[in-house]
Amino acid sequence: MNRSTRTLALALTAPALLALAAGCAKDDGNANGSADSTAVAAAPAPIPPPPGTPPGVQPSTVTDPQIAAIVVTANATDSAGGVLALEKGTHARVKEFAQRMVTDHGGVNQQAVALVTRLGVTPEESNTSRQLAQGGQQTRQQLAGLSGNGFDRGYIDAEVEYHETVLHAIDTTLIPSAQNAELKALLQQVRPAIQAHLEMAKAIQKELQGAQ
Amino acid sequence: MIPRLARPALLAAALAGCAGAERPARHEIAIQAFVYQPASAPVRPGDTLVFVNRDAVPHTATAADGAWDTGDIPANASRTVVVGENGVGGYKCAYHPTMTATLTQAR
Repeated sequence: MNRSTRTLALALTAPALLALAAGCAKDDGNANGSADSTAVAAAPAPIPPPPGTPPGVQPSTVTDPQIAAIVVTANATDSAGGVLALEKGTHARVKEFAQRMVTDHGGVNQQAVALVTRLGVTPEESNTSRQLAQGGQQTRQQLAGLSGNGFDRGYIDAEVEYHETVLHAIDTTLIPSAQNAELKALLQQVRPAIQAHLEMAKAIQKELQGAQ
Repeated sequence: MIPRLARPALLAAALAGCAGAERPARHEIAIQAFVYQPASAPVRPGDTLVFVNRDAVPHTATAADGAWDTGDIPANASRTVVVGENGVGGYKCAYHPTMTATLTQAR
């Protein structure tokens, strides 16, 4: 990725990615994100933040209802990005990838909703899920201002960043924090999908760079 | 006249005469967590492959050389294909190219 494209990707995805990467920290559901919010009682040992996490942000845990909302929001956010890319994307592989995001994340969300419904878990909004939704919206707004190759590259770069961060969040926060065994299993089942999407996005990113 | 007790032996011998042609086998290949299980399956022409998708998203099983294709396998569904004369080789998911597996020649 060249410097300008990299900068674009980071700019486009920063709000949503920071929400996932670090927003799980001390996520008390306070929309204002007060700095002195407290971690969930009896929480496991803190997990180191991913590279690039702002200083002072300490990952902690999230509750099962919050995880449910994060999963649903993360899937819906990426699915919405796919819908935009289907409309504005130009490269055939970008459009194929976008369709895959819509289909796969839609399928995962159906599975997630079915599970939490059966478990009687009511998804609970948190700073993370709210920031994910807001960040996704901002990303789509910025992508909507691009066209042609610029859109294709911006979208794919954002997808690489997004899936890298989601993968990290699954590994370091969501799976370790999940208390319900079936919810934890769902996250473990979702992980390979995110990994595959990441590898697919990276392959397309490389192809687009080669086409420059 | 053939003794009654000898008849089963003759029948077995007659059936053995057809032993050159193995009976087609049925192989179940699960798709779970974006992996084909088993990743390598020994098959013969005429065998039946049943791909069972246990993921929440659709997949395919598509020969690398395009010789065969299950088409879309929706979540929690299955699709069947019969191994052709030159059916061995690699295959992948057309939707998720990172998913690959192989059919090998059974001995």
